[in-house]
Amino acid sequence: MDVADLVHAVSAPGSAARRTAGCRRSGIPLAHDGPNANRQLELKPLASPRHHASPRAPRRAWQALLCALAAAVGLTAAAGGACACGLEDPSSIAMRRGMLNIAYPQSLHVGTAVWQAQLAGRLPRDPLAQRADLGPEARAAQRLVTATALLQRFAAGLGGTQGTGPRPSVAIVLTGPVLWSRLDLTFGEVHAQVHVDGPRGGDVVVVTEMPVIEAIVGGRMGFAEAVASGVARLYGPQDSVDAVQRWLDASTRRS
Amino acid sequence: MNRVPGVFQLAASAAAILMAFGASVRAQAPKPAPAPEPEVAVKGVVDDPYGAENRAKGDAAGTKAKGYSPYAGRRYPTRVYFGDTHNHTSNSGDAFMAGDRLTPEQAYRFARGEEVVSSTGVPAKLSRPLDFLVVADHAEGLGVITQLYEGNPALTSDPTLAGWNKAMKAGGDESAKAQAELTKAQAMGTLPAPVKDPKVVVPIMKSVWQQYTATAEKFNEPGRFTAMIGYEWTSVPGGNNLHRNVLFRDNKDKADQILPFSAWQSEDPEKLWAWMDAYEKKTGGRLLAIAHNANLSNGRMFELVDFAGKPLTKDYAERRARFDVLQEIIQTKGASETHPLLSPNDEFANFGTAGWEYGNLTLTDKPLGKAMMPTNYIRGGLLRGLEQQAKLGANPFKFGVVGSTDVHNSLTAIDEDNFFGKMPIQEPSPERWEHKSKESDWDAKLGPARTRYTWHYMAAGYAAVWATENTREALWDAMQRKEVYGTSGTRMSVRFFGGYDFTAADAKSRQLADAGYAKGVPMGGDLKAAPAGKAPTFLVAALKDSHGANLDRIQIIKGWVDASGKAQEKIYDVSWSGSRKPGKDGKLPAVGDTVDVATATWTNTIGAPELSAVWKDPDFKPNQRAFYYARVIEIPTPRWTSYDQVRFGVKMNKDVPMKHQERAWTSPIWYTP
Repeated sequence: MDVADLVHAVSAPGSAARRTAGCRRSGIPLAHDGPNANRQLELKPLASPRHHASPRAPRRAWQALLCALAAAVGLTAAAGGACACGLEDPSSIAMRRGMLNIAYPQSLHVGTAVWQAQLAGRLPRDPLAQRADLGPEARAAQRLVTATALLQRFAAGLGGTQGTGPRPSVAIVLTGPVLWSRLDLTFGEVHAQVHVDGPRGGDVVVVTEMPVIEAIVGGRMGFAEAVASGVARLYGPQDSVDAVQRWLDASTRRS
Repeated sequence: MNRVPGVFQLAASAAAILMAFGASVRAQAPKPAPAPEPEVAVKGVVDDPYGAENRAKGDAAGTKAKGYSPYAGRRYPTRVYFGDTHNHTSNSGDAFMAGDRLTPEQAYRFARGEEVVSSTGVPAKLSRPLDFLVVADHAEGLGVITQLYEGNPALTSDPTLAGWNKAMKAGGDESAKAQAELTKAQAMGTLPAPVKDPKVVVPIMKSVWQQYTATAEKFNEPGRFTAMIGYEWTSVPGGNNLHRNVLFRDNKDKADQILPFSAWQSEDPEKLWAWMDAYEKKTGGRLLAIAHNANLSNGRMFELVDFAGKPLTKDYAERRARFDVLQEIIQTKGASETHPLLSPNDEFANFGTAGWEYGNLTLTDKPLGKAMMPTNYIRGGLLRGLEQQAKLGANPFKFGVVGSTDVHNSLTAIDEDNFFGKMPIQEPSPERWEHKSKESDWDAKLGPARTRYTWHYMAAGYAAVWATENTREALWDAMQRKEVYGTSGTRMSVRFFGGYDFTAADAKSRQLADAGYAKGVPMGGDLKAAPAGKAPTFLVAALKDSHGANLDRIQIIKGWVDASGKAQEKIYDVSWSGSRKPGKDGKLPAVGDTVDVATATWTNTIGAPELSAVWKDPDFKPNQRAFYYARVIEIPTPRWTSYDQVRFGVKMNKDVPMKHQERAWTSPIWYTP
């Protein structure tokens, strides 16, 4: 990637920047588009102008499939219908992840702390990393499904701790795929709104990785331990960060 | 070692090689008669100091010993210095936005052997320090994006720039959109007024540039570590790579008199050369350019028209040869030597081409086709140069070669077992190999979708420079006279001389380099018309990397233009390990393979630590222009992907290569009758 590389990635038809505009442009409906959501897994010819003449568009098809998968497993897209993270648009990850390091200094250190913890046996390893029979796209699809399920279980596990006082809003970003989620309090329960555009103003941002969520959900690691070992970091105003940390510490004790 | 009487004059001697690299051993050669005091010193001399004119004066290279010490009075380069001429730091906009938070200061510290922490939090250190480094950040908006991020009020007074400043820190899609908008505006020339307003941006860039040169000054330690001043001119018309790194021979006092010429000012290489010429006239300094990634130019790097599409002229050829002194033959984005379709008889052509042969830098134009290849690779460029020489009377493509990295994370860390990738996202992690770095859509006109993955990236390469000392001036002068070679990351030592009088004994001599300089020209030099009845002879020697693999073979690649005007190439095996003999097809059997991919290990139980030979061109025709360069191939060793697979306990797809044969390429020697 070079300056010029970026320049053309942005300016070229069908470029990464345009792809971030989301699934709607690809002609694949999202889950909340209506009752026919179960049809979304069908791989349809794509409707972007560049592909108008061709029934074949393998890469877009992958992106569409991932978007459809996201919808099928119950992901809620953010307002505006954006549907893009590094899992659907892998070639955009370099810049998306890079911008994390700008917005949240040293946030990319989390990924390194995670693989170091994996090698040390403190965090679970990714079974898909052993699947040489799967292509990167297939692994990405499965990781999206897994991440979604884990984040939802993680949020559900926080539900029983309501009543500990006012809590700042929280966004979570998994740095590997740059997958954003928000924790949403509805009717007294916490839900993960997975696959959103990003944080909202005032959110405390939790930077972590999927194996950490997996370990917390599985009761093998508490949030306090995750922060202490560098596999999770929090960003935001200090008092808000402290409040979120107290909340997550209290509700994610190691079993 | 094998010998083929009648075809090759081969000789090999471990002892001889030691002298070739300046090792301290007893002199065994007869003591030569005292020579007159040389009138030309090597240091600081830009033009070939070993040419016939200088040698006629007696001993320009100082090759004759005086008194007791056989080395007294010797002036030729006795050490090869390894470094990187192409390192990007967070001052480059793309590196910054990709998450590089390391500054030039950290790049220098790392290169000279200190431990630093990478942008992704990985402690990093080189196995051995480098001798020199050129931080070559992009001229286009040099440091401006960093200034925007830091909220320089001269920029954030503009509402759009203020919005980007805020968005960069917002995270999520807001950050990504700001990055995309900024980059697009850059591409479309619609950047907000302050960025284009010289009154605003020039003081910022001047401040950044002068800080940049001051950092180089701080880390430049003559004799120990050279921090050469340089930058990258990033021309990429239509996604076709025409980038050049511009290297200064000079110190801060001269470099600070200008601001780098950028592709925002012009993408036309001739405009860059004009600017370089103006710099030299203004300051009395010297510049040279190193082009890179010919392999990603879709045939434009050595095209036979100028930027405007007009046929080349003699004037163009002379200016290009003057300023485009070197080409990067390898870097993280692949090798540019040649391609199997272009060189079907070259069994080693398929190196560093996978993934990079899909098309241009951005994969936004048509795929690379066979018709583009003759002007898309360095060997093809050298051949085109011979053709143009015949046509124009000057050779526009007369360049030497180096390797370098083009890393965008400030870390020249390209050992296979210590590879930090090109971008922060490619720094060590279990999944890095499978990241997509670039992809194109299926297109009715352009064909199937193409994807470049991180695993396509090469842990490469180094610039190797035969210089008289480790200083800016001496290194630059060596580059200028093309006494340089490129490697894929190994630090093997390679000597290559051309002349008419080398004999087998020269390759056995303890004074191999003495013979080389006394009787010929080193890599990058010129051979004039052959004396009657003589053919060019080449003295070549290689010594393995002290930490690395044994050597498989030395080859000499010859290119020429035949009587019908058709470019030709041929590869000669001139020295090899073991007792192998060429088969009926003339091909030397493979050296063998000790790599254990499961453990990412190999042994030096095959191959040779040193090889040398004197080779005489058996197909020489006195009236044919030609070039010759040497290629030295190591035995198979694990690729970085193999190390990753073991360290991270992952399994990669079958199409990911796990081993390869590292190599070095010398600059050519030209024969011009």
